[in-house]
Amino acid sequence: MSTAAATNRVTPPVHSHSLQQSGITANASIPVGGMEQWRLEAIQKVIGFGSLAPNWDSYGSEAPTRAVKQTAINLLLSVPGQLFPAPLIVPVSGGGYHFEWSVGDRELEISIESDCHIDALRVEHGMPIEDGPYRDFPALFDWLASH
Amino acid sequence: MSDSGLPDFAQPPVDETALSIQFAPIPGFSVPHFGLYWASVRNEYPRFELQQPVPNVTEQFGPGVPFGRQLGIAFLELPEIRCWFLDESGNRLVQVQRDRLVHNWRKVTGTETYPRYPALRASLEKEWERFCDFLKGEKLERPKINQCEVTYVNNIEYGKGWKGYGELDKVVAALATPKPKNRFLPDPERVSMQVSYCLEENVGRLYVSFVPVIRGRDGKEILQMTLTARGAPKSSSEEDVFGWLDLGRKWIVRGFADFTTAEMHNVWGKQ
Repeated sequence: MSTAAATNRVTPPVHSHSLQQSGITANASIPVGGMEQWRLEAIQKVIGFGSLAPNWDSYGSEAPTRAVKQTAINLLLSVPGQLFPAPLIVPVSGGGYHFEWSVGDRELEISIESDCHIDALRVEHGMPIEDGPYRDFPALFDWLASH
Repeated sequence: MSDSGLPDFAQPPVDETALSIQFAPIPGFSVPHFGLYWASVRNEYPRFELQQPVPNVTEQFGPGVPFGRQLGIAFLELPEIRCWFLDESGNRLVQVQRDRLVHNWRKVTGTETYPRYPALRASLEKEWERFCDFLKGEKLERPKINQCEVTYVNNIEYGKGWKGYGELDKVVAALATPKPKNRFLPDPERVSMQVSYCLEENVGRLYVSFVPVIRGRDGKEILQMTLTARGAPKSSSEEDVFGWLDLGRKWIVRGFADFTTAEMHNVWGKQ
């Protein structure tokens, strides 16, 4: 729920804070309240690829590890709002993920490798612009949105 | 009813439990002690994972206390870590940090049977004794316990007794009132809810939350009902600490039964 337009602000009592749990549980889960359908389905797809059988690509690859899976989920959670269509998501050999967003003539490709290293490639009119290790994801999605 | 007189279920939806003992930071307990402690439990917990420490949380009561809980803030001079020590299956783990020991049981494949509280309590007793023996062997002081916590995470799947949030009244007893006819609003898309209760004589609080989540294990969207009881034992004696944990568990089990409907109790095999 967004309260950005509200002007009168109160501090809610602590009982209504979501931090009621101290963080001692170990099984991971992702709250979905207000989450867009594309993001929910993308996260489910990422989790689903985490169950790939060993040698799923016949080149000896394992399924993405928990850390790689978590990195991919964090990436999806960081994609801004409802501006973008659902990405294409595929597992890649070695235990990583590849994401592709297409908007107009622009494409943004992001790969997460088995060591959680992230690479991004920007493509415009079918031609790559540059690639390299990116951390400024908002800037990448700003570029994609400003087609 | 179980032998403890509490409601009992043949197939409870519990996915994880955590029993936690929080204490004042142990002076002198530092990074090397994690490895030394691991050596003493490694035959049963052969795997480890490093985690960020969880905050020190203390329930507050009485007038002049603006907030129910207080998060401890410390100016740290040394790197702080939390270490998970996991058994081979990953079902059981012991979490250790400078001011807390937690014993978890969780489902990993989803097919495991909940081992029941008496077994988990006995397991925590063993781990606590082993931890205290380790501290004694290292000439570190015995923990001064300030909070105990019991957490049960229940995964309530759609399609098992209810179909969606328009039928949440089939799960949550408090919502099981007749719906007015001609109401404007459609069935809700999703519902989140948080409620807290004071335990008897303000010895702690029970927190109940319902949150729609994607389950990390299989990507399934479910309703997660988490019950957490937290509070201060009378003293650091094992009798008081485990007595408090028993009380917290009682509030969780009775709270779970109160909060959920008879129809869902049938789904979960109430005995």
